[in-house]
Amino acid sequence: MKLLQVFTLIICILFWSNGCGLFSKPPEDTTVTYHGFVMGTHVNVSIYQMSDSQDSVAAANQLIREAEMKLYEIESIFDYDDPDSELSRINTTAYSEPVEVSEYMSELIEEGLRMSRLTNGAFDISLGSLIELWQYEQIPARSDIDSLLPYIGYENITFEGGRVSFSNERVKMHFGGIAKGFAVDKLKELLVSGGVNSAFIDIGGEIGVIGQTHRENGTWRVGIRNPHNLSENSVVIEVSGGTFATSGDYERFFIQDGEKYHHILNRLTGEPAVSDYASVTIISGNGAFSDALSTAIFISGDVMNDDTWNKEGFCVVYIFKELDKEIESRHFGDCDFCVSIG
Amino acid sequence: MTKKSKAVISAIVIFALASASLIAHLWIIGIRFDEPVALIYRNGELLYEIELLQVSEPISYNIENVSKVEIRDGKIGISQANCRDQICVNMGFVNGVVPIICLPERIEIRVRNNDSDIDGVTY
Repeated sequence: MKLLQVFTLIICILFWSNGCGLFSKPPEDTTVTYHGFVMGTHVNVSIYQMSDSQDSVAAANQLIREAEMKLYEIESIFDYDDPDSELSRINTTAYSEPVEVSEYMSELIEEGLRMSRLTNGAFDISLGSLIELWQYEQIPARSDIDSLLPYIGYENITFEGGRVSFSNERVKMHFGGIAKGFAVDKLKELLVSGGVNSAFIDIGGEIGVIGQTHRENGTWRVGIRNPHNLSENSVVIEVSGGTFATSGDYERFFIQDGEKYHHILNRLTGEPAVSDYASVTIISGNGAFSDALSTAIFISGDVMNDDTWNKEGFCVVYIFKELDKEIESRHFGDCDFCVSIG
Repeated sequence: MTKKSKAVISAIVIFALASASLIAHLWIIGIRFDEPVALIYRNGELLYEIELLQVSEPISYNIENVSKVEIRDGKIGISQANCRDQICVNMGFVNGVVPIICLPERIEIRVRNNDSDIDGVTY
């Protein structure tokens, strides 16, 4: 009889463990995931764990819906090609009179101008007219580029008291090099304030992480796509937080007369930047900063002195055009969230 | 039937049920988590979910007349696309975490693979 009792106990344990998911993956594996196509790119948001376990799936679903709405809101503000966007309204009227802007627009103009100044214009939010000239995927006439260059430069933009104005009607703002990083920041804020403990955000390759993974040390592992072989990663970065942004010449380009023309423009020449790098990745605590700085370094190399770098705190990973040149990485200031690169 | 034999029969029945339940559970987990599963999206909407290792012969999917997605040798790739830059086609075939993205045609292919030790890719 004793044997029978033990036998029954084992069976009960089997039932219990099966029902409780002892053999299944831990609960932090994808509570709720969102896939979408917003801001001209794909979006993937996964909430793995909520701080309050009660009704966590319902709460995560609600947050995912709010995140989607937030993305559409950001798109409706910063879409350069949408004539009804706030940016279009500013671009068509800020020459004739100062224009009062929304909270998000105000934040991004301020951060965009800060990054433009910090990088001496390597990153610049005033490239709208130039980007428009190149968007038809053919080389514009040199005379058209030259006629625009005097109106390119963040110095032509004034932002005071929540109002923006331009020095000339040909000046147009464009946030293509910073808006995705900004959107990652906004989603992170939304999710954290909504009680998310662990989440992964991917907006067109700009990545933000919240909290910890189920790994023993809790870190996240993010690959940097190999620009020389797009189906592989060049390197894997292990982080405990932060946001990633990568700029490279291999994602958006056109080919004319056998030459490749990518989408990252140098404001000094008005043409696609000539860079030593195939890609530059920045990992920092600020998505807009990572986004803008990766563009700036891709265009102009190390655009600031070390004192300026160290105040910000970030990691940078350089992948060179030359295949035989090894990947380099550098740390600046406080970037403890960068656990390992390799 | 004695009390003891009733108990033994009950135990055997319970054991059989528990075993069947456990095997089914592990089998489902195996399908869901252990094998690489390709997810094909257009405009953020999931069109196909395919277990790559279950595809024994090369197979292709016509994605709304803009792209042709192929699966062969446990890998997935875009073999034809209407887009101008052809970046998605040039990515070749993948079976890991690196996603294939065709921005002009709004197509995204991801491979969910629980064995992967990568959470995502920046590019």
